[in-house]
Amino acid sequence: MAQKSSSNRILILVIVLAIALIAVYYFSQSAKDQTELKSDKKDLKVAYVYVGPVGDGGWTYAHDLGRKHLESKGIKTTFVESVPEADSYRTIRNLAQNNDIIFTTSFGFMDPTLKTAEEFPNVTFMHCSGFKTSKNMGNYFGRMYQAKYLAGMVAGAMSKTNRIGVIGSHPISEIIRHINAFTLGVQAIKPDAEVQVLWINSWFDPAKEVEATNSLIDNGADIIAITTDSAAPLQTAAKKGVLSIGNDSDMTKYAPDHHLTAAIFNWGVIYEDIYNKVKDGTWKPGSDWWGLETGLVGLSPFSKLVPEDLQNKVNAKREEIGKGLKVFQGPITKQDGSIALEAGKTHTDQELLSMNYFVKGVIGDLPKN
Amino acid sequence: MYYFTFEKRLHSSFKIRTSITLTSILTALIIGGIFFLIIGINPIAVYKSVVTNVFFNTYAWEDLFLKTSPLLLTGISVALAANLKIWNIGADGQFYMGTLGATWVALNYGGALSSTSIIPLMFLAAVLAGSLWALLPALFRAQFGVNEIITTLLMNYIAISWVDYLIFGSWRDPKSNNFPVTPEFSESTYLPTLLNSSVHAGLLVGVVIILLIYFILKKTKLGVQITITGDNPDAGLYSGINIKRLIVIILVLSGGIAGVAGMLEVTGVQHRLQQNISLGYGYTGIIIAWLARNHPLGVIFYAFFMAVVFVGGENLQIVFGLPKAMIDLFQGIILFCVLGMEIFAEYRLKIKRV
Repeated sequence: MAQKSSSNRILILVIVLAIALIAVYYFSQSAKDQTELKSDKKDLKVAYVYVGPVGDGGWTYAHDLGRKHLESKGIKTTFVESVPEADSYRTIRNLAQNNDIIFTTSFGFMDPTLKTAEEFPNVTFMHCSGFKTSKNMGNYFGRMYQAKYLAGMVAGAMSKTNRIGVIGSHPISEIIRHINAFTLGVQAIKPDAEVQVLWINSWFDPAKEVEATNSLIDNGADIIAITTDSAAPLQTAAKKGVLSIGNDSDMTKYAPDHHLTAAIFNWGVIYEDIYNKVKDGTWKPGSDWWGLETGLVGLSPFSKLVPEDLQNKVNAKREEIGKGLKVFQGPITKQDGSIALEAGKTHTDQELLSMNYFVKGVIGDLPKN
Repeated sequence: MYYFTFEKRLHSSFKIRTSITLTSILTALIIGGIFFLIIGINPIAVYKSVVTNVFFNTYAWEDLFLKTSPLLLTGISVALAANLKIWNIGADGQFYMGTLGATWVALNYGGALSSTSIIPLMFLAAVLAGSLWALLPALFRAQFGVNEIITTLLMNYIAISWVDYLIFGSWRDPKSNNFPVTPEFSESTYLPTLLNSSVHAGLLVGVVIILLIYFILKKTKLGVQITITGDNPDAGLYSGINIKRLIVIILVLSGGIAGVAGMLEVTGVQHRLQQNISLGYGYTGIIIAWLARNHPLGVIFYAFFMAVVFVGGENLQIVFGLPKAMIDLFQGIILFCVLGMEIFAEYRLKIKRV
């Protein structure tokens, strides 16, 4: 009997709660229209949605430096870190209620951002690394492959075994493009050198990254470069006396005696530009893809291990690319020997954005459709 | 000299349970408050902000219900099996298989069928896929006594690998620049939404399934068999219950329910299959079942409770700029207190003097 009456009481409690919920829902529903009236756009509020923790030392860390750059100009910002892509719609919508500009900084946030942008026509949405746009949503990215090419030159010159290991994150076009550019940079110095890629199918997974680092070193790599977000591979490589190249932000502090340089983002410049455009009403939805000349992408300061003549060589190349030299300039041969680009031809931006082949000299597979 | 002992309560009434749960939440708030004070944030402001931003905001209510929907089902999935003292740690894997079944239907027949025929088809496919995923551990447990905690847990990783294999391979959206997601489903597969919000009908599906399980457990012969065998397998055996059959039925049913949760998530929220789609719903289901003491109606309450914990935590990140790690810590404190103080529902603390 005690069992039965207690379950009855739970039932009553649940019903009462349910009624209370519905009541509150309706009350807040009527209040909804009032809260949606936007305050005038004098002080724009900016919010960031990050895929990783701000302390990852890489991708998200670099974006957060960009956010802090805005804060240093007196702009009010908010952020949410470690947002799973499958849960991002709720987070973005949550931020859209009280902000004027929303930056979503992972490819997987693209469709949730688009969906939220339709619901909040008065908010400006900027998505990093995707391709979809709408009336109030644009996208932005850096021509990181240019910096990767420079980093590849450093790796090619410093490698003695002529084999460089790369930790691959996701085999998506962005990362394939970066690995190809890196390889072309390596080959600009050492035409016979090879770049071995191991995919971990994750942006941030220190355990898997360490595992892959060890495998690559065991396979003869004497330089480790990463496309993932954590600095764990650099630390692992350093323990084995192996040199490394960082990703997204300066990672010198994680491997002070082995870190050569890193291909880095300096997001602050583009964030400030977008903010100003939205503020004075000149912002238009589009795709901003900034290169070396803008300072959005570049290399972190060279370590003392990098000889001066190599530094000069790389800096000279940086100038040339900044002035319009193409990284993907034909002739380029694919991994399987077929022709990717004929002599004298270059890839269009669209071809770069949907790149789905490895250049010759890359050891590694791409998933097949 | 004093010492403490635990004495078993003769009756553990609803009143005692409720007051213990409330006390434990209060304790958690106090301990959490100390942490907030340490990092220089006024705990009262924090709690006030959670209340206003979670309970007095339409969007937050939608978030709560969106979060509650899958948790209702993974919670009842674990709780149902646990009534038979079977530990289904595999709700997460069954969830993934459910997404797989529903996605297969959506990708192959999405354009060709109307909502009224494709949604039931996806439901069936998800139930089938989730049940099959539980069938293997169920047979091994029933036939050879293999511990289902291990097998169901390990099957989770296999399920995730299957999803990865397909979304990196033949199911990948050709327009996604190689990103591992399936194409978006056609609109006929979308679950209807409630009250013009983003909350999908899966919420009702969850409640109906829970009420059904409640009915089965309390009013049917199967329910009696589960209760007897769960309390004492020997008693079940001697009263002529086919325990092997019972284990298989319940674990397979449990898997099917978790599969439905997966289907609701792909067709109600994401409209496509992608990595990490479960967000640990299967594991949260274990916590919910435990908090609810495997009572179906308790699952409703605690699924909602967990949704509040998640959505509230996210709000703290936004409003106070707290790091995610701090939110996780706070959520950990709440769960630790609520689960830890459960012992007082069964036992009374006695202070004795030697």
